[in-house]
Amino acid sequence: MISIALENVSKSYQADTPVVKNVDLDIEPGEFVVIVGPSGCGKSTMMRMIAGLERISSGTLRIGGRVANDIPPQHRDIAMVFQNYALYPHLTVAENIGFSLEMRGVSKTERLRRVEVVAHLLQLSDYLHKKPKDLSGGQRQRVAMGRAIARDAKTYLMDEPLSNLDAELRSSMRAEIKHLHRQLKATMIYVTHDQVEALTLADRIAVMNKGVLQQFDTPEKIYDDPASLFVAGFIGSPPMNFIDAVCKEGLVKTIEGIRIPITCPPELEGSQVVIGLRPENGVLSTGDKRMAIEFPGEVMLIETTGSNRNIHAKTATGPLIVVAPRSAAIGLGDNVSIGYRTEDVFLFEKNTGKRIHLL
Amino acid sequence: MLVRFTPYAMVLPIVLCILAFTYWPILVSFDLSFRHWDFMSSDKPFVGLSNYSELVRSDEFWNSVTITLIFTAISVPLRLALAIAIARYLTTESKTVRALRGAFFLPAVTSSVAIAVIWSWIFSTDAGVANALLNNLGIAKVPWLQTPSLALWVIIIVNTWKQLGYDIVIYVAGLQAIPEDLYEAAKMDGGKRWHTFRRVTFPLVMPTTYFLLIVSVIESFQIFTIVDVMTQGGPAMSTDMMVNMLYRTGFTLFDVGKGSALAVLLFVFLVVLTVLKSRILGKRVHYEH
Amino acid sequence: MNTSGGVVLRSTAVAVGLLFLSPLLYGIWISFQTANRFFSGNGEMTLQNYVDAVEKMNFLRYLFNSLIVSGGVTILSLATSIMAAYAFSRFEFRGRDLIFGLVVATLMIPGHITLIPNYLNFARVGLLDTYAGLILPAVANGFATFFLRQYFRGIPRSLDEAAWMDGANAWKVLYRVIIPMSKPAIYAMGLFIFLGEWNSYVWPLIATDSPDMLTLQIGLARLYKMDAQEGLVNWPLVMAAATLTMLPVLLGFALVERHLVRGISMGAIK
Repeated sequence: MISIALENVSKSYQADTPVVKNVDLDIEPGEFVVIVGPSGCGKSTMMRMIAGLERISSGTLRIGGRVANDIPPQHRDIAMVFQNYALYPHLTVAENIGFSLEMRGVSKTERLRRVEVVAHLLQLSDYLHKKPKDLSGGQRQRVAMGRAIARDAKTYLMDEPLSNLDAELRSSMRAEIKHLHRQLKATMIYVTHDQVEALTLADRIAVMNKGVLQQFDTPEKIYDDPASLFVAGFIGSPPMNFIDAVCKEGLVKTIEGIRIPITCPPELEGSQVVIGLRPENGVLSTGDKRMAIEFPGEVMLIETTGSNRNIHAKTATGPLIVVAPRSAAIGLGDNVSIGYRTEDVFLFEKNTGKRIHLL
Repeated sequence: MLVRFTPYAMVLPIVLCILAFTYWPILVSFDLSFRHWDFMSSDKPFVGLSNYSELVRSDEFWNSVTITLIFTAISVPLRLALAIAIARYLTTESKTVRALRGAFFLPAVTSSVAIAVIWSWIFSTDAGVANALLNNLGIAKVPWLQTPSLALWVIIIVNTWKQLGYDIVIYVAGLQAIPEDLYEAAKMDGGKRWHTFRRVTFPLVMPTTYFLLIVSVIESFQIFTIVDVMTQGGPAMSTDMMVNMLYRTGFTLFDVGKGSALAVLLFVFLVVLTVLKSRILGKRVHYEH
Repeated sequence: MNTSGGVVLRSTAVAVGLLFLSPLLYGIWISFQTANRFFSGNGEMTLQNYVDAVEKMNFLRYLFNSLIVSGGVTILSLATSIMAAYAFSRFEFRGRDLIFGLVVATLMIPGHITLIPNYLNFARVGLLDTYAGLILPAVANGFATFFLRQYFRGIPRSLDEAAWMDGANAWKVLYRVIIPMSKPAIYAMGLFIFLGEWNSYVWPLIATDSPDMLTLQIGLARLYKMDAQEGLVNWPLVMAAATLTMLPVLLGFALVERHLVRGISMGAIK
């Protein structure tokens, strides 16, 4: 277990176009951190800088408190699982798993013993003498994991390790990784574009966009208290509803002129804002309006997700999605009203995307 | 990657080799070409351009230049014409065709000395196959390699036979790169075979032809081994190529200065050709894209 | 194509191929004839010419020398080219493009320009008539470096990176990942270098003199030239020597013909 800290770290391949901008990230020893964001947000670059596979353009990387910018990857005591697994095609499964031990000069008998233990843990014992090309996708993924955990690294990096698996395998591997983390008691940094992986695995999530760290917090806080328009839109499924509005006379007014009973901070008078409403917080009704804020509309589309249904409605302020229980008797074309409590409303500055905290 | 000195360590051996055995010697060659030396005496006086002027005024030099030019002017077009004529039939990828291409290519990778020796026998006056065949037609024995007007032709034949396979392989690659539909279009237009070749195939393999032209000219100017084994430049200097003269001047007559001057002249000429080649290759890349 | 057409095509191809190679084949055929049979047409087939070439003409020694020199050049060329190609394909370092340019440019430098200076330098340090003297000038191989660099570039970088993370350093990555994954290319290149050096003539001609240091090529050329000067060539013996000289190429050619052809077309077309 070891701490990892990025202090004001930036990376640019060409001058003026940084792919990672001034990131500060403090990872506690033994923590499971998921870096999440859309493709091209700089999350993989960040991981590769921690690994030592990319040079850090500016800023400081500390591993266990020690400046590590110039330590080559083989001396960082970090193990990594690659997105495409990067298994050595000319080596057997056992040789792949034992490779890192061999590089560290571990004796052959000890190596064999450790490989057996890892193989057993990952249910690979029957495949030890096969070559990677003879394995299924899921098995290869396991070998990649096995190669990383064969030695007791202090830190594990995982670069979208599950993205090449099918949905079923992915969820079972997710559970296994969580389990592994508890067993290994190591610091883990996991990169993904999948918010479900982020929410289920992480102790803390780092949300990245366009090279900038948007928020670094627990999954609950990220969901309940998003720091920016981007985080609010990226985390949550179905995604948060956004409505363009302006602050006028101390109140929020949609572009269409509908008044929302929320007080605007006085300094924002006249500026453009965005209202955010989580689909799962909305209450669907067909008759009388009972909530503080109501959006009357017509049902355009119904998606069944199993336990719930996603209702897509057309309202005066644009399309809204709301999650409704399956029991609700709603049909296409019905006139409905979607109600929200004032405390369920998120407000953001339109230009900066910054969250406006309501009193 | 955070590696500083390792890459230098990795390129060091080859860099030392090219500096010691290629680049440094080139400089030494230039230097020696301005000096007078016989390998033995302790001083190497600087004589300016006198080695060059002696060369340019000698019949021996112009003889070897002329012979090399004649050799090149005949053997290069001959090779290319034969190669494209044969390559046209060898573009398919069947086992038979590949084997035949291999047969044509074999001499190109076979020892020049062995080839020269075998052909010396074929053209030998008393025991050779060439004269035996002529004998069947009632023609008297011809001393091929002892006759100044014939020896160069023998050299041309042997060299063509050896190098043809290389040209064929390159032409086959060039021909295979021509899209099939161009031929089909020509066929649809009712093109006759020769017509199709002249109007479609030939222009499209033009880049290949340019490439081979220059490569084989460069190579022809450096011919040495076959001549050294078969005729040593004779009879009566009728096959004395430039590199053969260089070898004789430097290593038989020990005239280091003049030998180096000759080497420098040939070097400059060949480097110019090589630069020309990369120009044309550059153009070809354009043409393909 | 129908079968009779196929047969016609195949027999034509065989006939053309045999005709083209007939000088070579006939030469080899002669090497098995006694002098008597060669000159008069009646006599025996024999292996005596080979025995004579080896026993009386020192060809076993030449064969040994050629093996040492070609083998040495192959190993050292591969070693230097593999290391350099790996550095060129994987690392960014100051001067990389210039150094790569210098290495590849040796491909285009006509060999004759280095003959006299190399002879002088080698004479000065006493390397004439030694194996080192024969081997060293042929070690740097621009083509091998270029070719292997291209090949290494095709190996996914993530494999190197995985090895780095597993604790390997640059040398171990090369030795344990890059080289094992490039075996076919390295073998083909090795044979290519070996055959090229086997046939090499000019430098061994200049750099050797004592009968014990000659390579096959020089030995064969000397044997023939000496006979020819006297006007009496023992053709069957010379052909046996020539066949010995060609032997590894004839054997190796079958193995690598395809690689050779592909390599050569690639060199031309890029």
